[in-house]
Amino acid sequence: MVELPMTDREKILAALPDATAEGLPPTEWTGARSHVFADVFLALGGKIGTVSDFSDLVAGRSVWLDDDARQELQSRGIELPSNCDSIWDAAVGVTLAQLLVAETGTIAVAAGPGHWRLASLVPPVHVVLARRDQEVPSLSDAIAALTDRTSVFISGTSRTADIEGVMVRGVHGPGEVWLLWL
Amino acid sequence: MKRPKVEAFARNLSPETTASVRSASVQKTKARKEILWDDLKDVEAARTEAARIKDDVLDRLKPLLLQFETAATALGVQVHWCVDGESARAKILEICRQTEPQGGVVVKAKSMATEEIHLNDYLEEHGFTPVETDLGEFVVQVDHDTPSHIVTPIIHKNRRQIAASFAREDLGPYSEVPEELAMQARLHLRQKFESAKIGISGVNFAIAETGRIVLVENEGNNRLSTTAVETHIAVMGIEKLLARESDLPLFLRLLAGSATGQRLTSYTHFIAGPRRSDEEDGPREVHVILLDNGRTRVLAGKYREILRCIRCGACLNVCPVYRQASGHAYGHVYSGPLGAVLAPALEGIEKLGELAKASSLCGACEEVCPVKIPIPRMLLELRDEATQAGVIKEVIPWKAFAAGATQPAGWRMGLKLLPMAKFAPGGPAKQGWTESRELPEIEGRNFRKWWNSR
Repeated sequence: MVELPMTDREKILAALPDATAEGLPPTEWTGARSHVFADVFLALGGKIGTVSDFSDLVAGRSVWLDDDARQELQSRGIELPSNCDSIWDAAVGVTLAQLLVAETGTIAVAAGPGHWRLASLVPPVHVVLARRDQEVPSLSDAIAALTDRTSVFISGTSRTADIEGVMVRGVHGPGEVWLLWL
Repeated sequence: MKRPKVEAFARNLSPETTASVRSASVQKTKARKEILWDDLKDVEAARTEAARIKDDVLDRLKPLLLQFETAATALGVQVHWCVDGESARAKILEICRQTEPQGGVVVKAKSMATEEIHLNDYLEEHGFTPVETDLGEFVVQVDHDTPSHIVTPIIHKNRRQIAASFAREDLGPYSEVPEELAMQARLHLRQKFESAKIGISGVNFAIAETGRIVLVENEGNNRLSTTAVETHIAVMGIEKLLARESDLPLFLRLLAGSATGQRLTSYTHFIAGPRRSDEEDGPREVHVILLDNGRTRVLAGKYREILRCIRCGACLNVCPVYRQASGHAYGHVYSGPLGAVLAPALEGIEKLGELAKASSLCGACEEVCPVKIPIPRMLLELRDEATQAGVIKEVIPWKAFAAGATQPAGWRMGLKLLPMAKFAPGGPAKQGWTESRELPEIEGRNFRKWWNSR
C-alpha cells in the first residue's frame, strides 16, 4: 500500500510531545498600580470635553459617525451632518466607547452592526463618546469584559519614535483623540 | 589577527552609527526601568509568573495549538500549518493569488516571522509588491536595508540619512524634521492602505481558549494593514500562544513596558475573525499561518527556554555587545542576546554557532528579560556545542594553558616563567589581551616557596 506523504500539520503534530489539556490554574496577577482614567488619558495626549463641545469640534469638518454614536447625539438634539462619501475623506471619526480602563488610560472600541472599524483609525481626529459609568479599574477587568467581536484598545494617539527617538503623533492613526463625557 | 564576525563588524562601524545605536538603547533601557518599577507593584513577581505561564504553554503546546485551531476556525479564521519557511511562503503566495490572481500590492505590518522566512523577496519574484508600512520598516525597505532591531528597526540611522533617502525616493521636499518626514511617509502609504486588497502581519499573542489573535502597535499601520483589506494573513511562530485571555494583562503590560517603556502601546487589537455579515467593514478573510521552521526541534532540546520570548527587545537594548556592534553585526533577523541563542538554535550550530561568542556573559539580558530566559547559561552551552563541532576554534593559548594546567611539571614551569610574560613578544593572543587591558604586575614572592620556607 502506498503511504501518502504527511501533511505539514501532521509533521508538526508528530514532532510535538503529547500533553494533557489541563494546565495551570488561571493567573491571579493583579500587580499593576491603579490610576485615575483622566490623568493617564491626558498624559497620553488625549483631550477631554463634554458632549456639549461636540458641535464646535466638528464645525465645518467632514465627519464619519458610527450609527449608535449618531443616535446618541441626535437623541440630545444635536444637529449632525450626514457621513461624507468616503471614510478616507473624513476629518473626524466619531464612535461610542465600549469601556474605559483607568489603569492604562485606554478606550475600548468594538466592531459590530453600524460600527466601522476604520472610524477610529482613518480620520485624523477621533471623537469618543462615553459615560462615566463605563470606566473599569484594571486591564484585567477590561479583558474579562471583551465580547466575542473584534475590538481594539486605544491608549492615546497614534505615534512613532522611529526617527532618532523623537516622538511624532498621528503617523497613520489619529493624531488627536477626544473623549466627550455624555 | 582574525576577529570573530561580530567584533569585526563592530570595529568597522562608523562612530555616527555606534552613537545612534547606543543612545537609543540607553534611552529605551531607562524607559523600561521607569515604567515597570513605577507602575508594577512587584516586577520580580510579574516576571516569575510570566516565565511560569510561558513554560506551561511550551509544555502543552500540542493540545493548545489544537485548541487554538478549533476555536479560531469557529470564528471563521482559516488556520494553516507550515513546517518551514519554504512551505509558509508557498502557502502565503497561494492565498494572495486567490485574492489577486494577477498579483498586486500587499501592505505589510512589521513581522519578524515574515523576515525570518524571507517573504518579501519571494512575493516580489512572484508578481506581488509588498509595501512595508511601519515607518521604520518603510525606511529599511526604501534603502534596501535590513532592520537592525526587532522592535525599532532604524536605530542605526539618523535623521539626515532618512531625509536623504526620502528625498531620493521623491516623497517630498528635503527635510530633516522628524515630524515632516513622518507625514511624508503617512501620505505616501495612505494611498497603499486605501487600495491594497491584501495585508500581512505577525501575531503578538494567539489565545488558545478563544481563537483570537492579539496584535500590538503604536502607529496604526498594523490596524490598517489588517482591517482596510479584503484578505488578512497573520504569520506566527507556533510558540506565540497563551492558553487564556486572562493571561493577557500580565503579558501586555510586560511587553509594552519592556519594549517601549509604555503602559500599553497605542493600539492593542483583538482580532476575532473576519468581517461578520452584520458588520460594516473588516477583511472578508483572515488566515493564520502556524510556522514551525525549527521550533519543534528547539522545543525538544537544551535551548527550549528561548521559546518563551515575547520579542520585546529589552535584551538587545541592554546588551553591551549589541550597543557596540548594532544588530546588523549578527547577520540575522534575530540579533542581540536573543539572536545569539535563537539564530543558531533554529538554523544550526554549523551556520551560526559563532554568535554564542558575541557576549561578555555579563547577564544583563537575563535581568531584563520579562520571561526570565536564562540566556547566559544557554550561551555557555552553545559555546560548548560549537567548540565540540569545530565551529568555534580553541585559540592556541587555551590549548597551551590546558596542556600546562594538566601536568604538574608544566604548571610549575609556567609559574616560573610568568613574571616574564610582559617581556614576551607580542602576537595575536597577547594582543587580544593587551589591546584594552594592561598585564598585571607580578608582585611579591612565589607562594609555594614562601610556604615551604616557613
